[in-house]
Amino acid sequence: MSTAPTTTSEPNPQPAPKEQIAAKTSTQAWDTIRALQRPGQPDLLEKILGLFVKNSQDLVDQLRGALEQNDAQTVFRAAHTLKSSSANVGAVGLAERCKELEALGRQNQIGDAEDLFAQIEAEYGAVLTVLHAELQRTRGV
Amino acid sequence: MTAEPHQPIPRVLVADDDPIARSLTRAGLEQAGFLVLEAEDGEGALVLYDQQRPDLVVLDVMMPGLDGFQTCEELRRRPGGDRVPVLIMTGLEDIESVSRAYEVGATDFASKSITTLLLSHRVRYLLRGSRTLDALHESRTSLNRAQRIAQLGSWEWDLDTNRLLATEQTLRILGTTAWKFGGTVESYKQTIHPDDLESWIQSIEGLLSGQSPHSLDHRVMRITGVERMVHEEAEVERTPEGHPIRVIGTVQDVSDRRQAEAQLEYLAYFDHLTGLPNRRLFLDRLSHTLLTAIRYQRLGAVIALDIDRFKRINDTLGHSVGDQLLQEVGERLVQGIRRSDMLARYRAADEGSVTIARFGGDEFYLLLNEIGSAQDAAKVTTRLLEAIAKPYTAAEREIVLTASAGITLLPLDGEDVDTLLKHCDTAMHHAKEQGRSRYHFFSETLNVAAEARLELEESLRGAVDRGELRLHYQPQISLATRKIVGAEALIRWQHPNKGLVPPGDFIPLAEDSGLIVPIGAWVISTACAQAKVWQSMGLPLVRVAVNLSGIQFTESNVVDTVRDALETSGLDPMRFEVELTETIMMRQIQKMIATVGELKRLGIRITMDDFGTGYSSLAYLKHFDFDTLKIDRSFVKDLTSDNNSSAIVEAIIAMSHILDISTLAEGVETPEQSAALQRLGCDEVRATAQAARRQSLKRCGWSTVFSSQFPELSTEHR
Repeated sequence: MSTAPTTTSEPNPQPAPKEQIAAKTSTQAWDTIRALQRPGQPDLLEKILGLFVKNSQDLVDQLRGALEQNDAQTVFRAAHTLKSSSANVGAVGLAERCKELEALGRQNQIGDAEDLFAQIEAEYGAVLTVLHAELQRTRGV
Repeated sequence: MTAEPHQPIPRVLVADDDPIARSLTRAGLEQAGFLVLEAEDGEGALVLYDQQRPDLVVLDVMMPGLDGFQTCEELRRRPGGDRVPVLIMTGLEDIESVSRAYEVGATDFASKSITTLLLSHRVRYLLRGSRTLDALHESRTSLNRAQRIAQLGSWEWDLDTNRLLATEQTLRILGTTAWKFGGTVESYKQTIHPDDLESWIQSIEGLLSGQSPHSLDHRVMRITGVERMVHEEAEVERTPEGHPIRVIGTVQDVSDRRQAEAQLEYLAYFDHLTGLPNRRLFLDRLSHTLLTAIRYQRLGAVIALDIDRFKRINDTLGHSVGDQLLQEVGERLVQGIRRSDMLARYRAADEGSVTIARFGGDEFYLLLNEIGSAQDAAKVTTRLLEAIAKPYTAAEREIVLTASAGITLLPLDGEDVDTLLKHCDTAMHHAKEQGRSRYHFFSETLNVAAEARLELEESLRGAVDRGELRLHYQPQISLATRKIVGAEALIRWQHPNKGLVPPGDFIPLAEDSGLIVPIGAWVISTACAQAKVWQSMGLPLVRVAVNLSGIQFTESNVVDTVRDALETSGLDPMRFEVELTETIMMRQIQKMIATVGELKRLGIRITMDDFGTGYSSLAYLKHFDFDTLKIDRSFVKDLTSDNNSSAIVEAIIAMSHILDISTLAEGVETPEQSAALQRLGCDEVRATAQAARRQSLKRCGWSTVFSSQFPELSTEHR
């Protein structure tokens, strides 16, 4: 299940991360999630972002291990899940990279996926930074 | 967005291994007013489904373990799982997944990329459709339930398309299933018992033409081979112009009801102990028989049969032994009637020509619808009394019962039921008074006649042993050589008191009583022995002929008897001849052909007696290998005075010669008859004894060579 994130890249209003890699994200996705918020219920955006932060590291680790072991099937599944999850939280760039890796996994062509995975790791790190910032902001409110 | 009013909140089960997607879907659906149940994978979804029975299921395709497709398939196999709407979430670009989704029974599919808002709408739409289906199912189910309780099925037959829509209960009654039932009027007809199909078609035609309502009982043949009786009613729907469009029918299984009715009828008309008709049924049939007998001037009989001193059995051995004996008596009566030859010929025409009933206690009654004479009734009764008198085994001992019977003839002894039965009882009590174990006619005249017959029968029984029977021989003379070529043996009974009894007075009695068998055997052996004596005396006498009775063929092995007589006497078989009448041939013609063939193989000659008097048929001549054909005396008598007789005799002789059968004329009394027969080509004649004596053989120009050595020809005594 995914909201339909726009692919526009907006300048991050938060301070830029040290490594200067800008996460390609869509805040529209966050708006969509906020729209689903029902009164009197725990904050949905916080829950969704928290779930991403909690579960995504495991997926990235799975991807790494599977690539090392040349396990295309696991690469496909993990990339697929990470793709949907990142799209849901507005991490458009990460979702696009994951979609590419998912395709390679499905076609059993993960031999040359090292570069792609490196990009995914970098993008993932940037997304985490953005999300942590947002989480701190919402929790702080 | 809220759920539709007046409905319980719909519950949606969402299965997705991705917690983020699941949470978002849940949020979207909850916002739209649904209650959401979450499962992390396919297995979890199935468990939750079984527990909660949600109104709709959303399945993600990509899940570890059971994926969305497999989960959907599993779900569809569950009871009730065949109707819950299932929405499968697939990748947008994946056409294969879409078709797979429908294959596994998904109600709909949606791309994972649709918004939660659109998803909510989709879910709402699916639920509405499902509720309509549920309502339809519910109404069908309750109709089926109602029909099942009423054991009533219904069907609709569209006359345009010939489709026939049958409810589940209808199919159940017809013993078929929705799969096997073709759904056309033809497939409906196939369930109808073939013997009832025609009346069904006629009834439906009557309905369609508006002439008669369709209300019909007919049998159906179930696939299992079981036959059931159904009651069917139908109405027809018409256009305003009266053109029939549709037939609507109901069908009800009435087998049990019919069986109950049959059971009631059985109880009302049959005796529960013996299974025989009871008094009521007997009286019904008797009144019917009486009317028929009066109208068509037929003779029937009612016989009352009472076990002698039966009370003694019940008193000493108990009622259960008594009942057992009564059952056995009933059985013996039925068997006795079945074996009765006398009744067989009447029964062939009418299956219900004999009724055996038990009125209660030890009283049995018989109704014979049609008999030839009082003697027939007496014969049947004698047999039945004999059958009853055979020993019984009950309570580990041998028991002997006898019965007494009263016989009334209808309509002679009473033209109404009450009078007949009263007279029958009177006659039966008379039999008891006379010492039991016997029958008694109601009519005294018949009793006198029966007594005389009985006496004669007793006396005839000993006639063979006492040497009272005689054979007389009449000469058979060749017309060509004028010599005696044979002799026909004729039986006489020299009764010690009555003098000479003619065959016509005792042969029928001998046949009725079965005495004809030993008497016939005596005739055959005596004739053979006599012929052997003549042969050893050097007489050129060619042969001796004897007449056989039909009873000898049916009740004994006549072939064995003849073979024994030939062997014992040492007579050349060529010198022995048997004569058969047409009437004998007529009975059991196939068996007769075989028997005559066996006799021929013994080497003896066969003559057909009385040719031309009965059902003379050329076909017999072809089937039986006769040596001689006997021209009846009635033709010979008129031979010189009646041209027709002359023509018939001429034709018989001509035909016989073509078939290589010799002819012999009976009853030749005058030289003129003899001359005429010779002229027509007849081979032999048999002179009457009187003629032989009156005119002397010599005057006829016949051989006198051994007339002096042939004393029987002149003395008629052995």
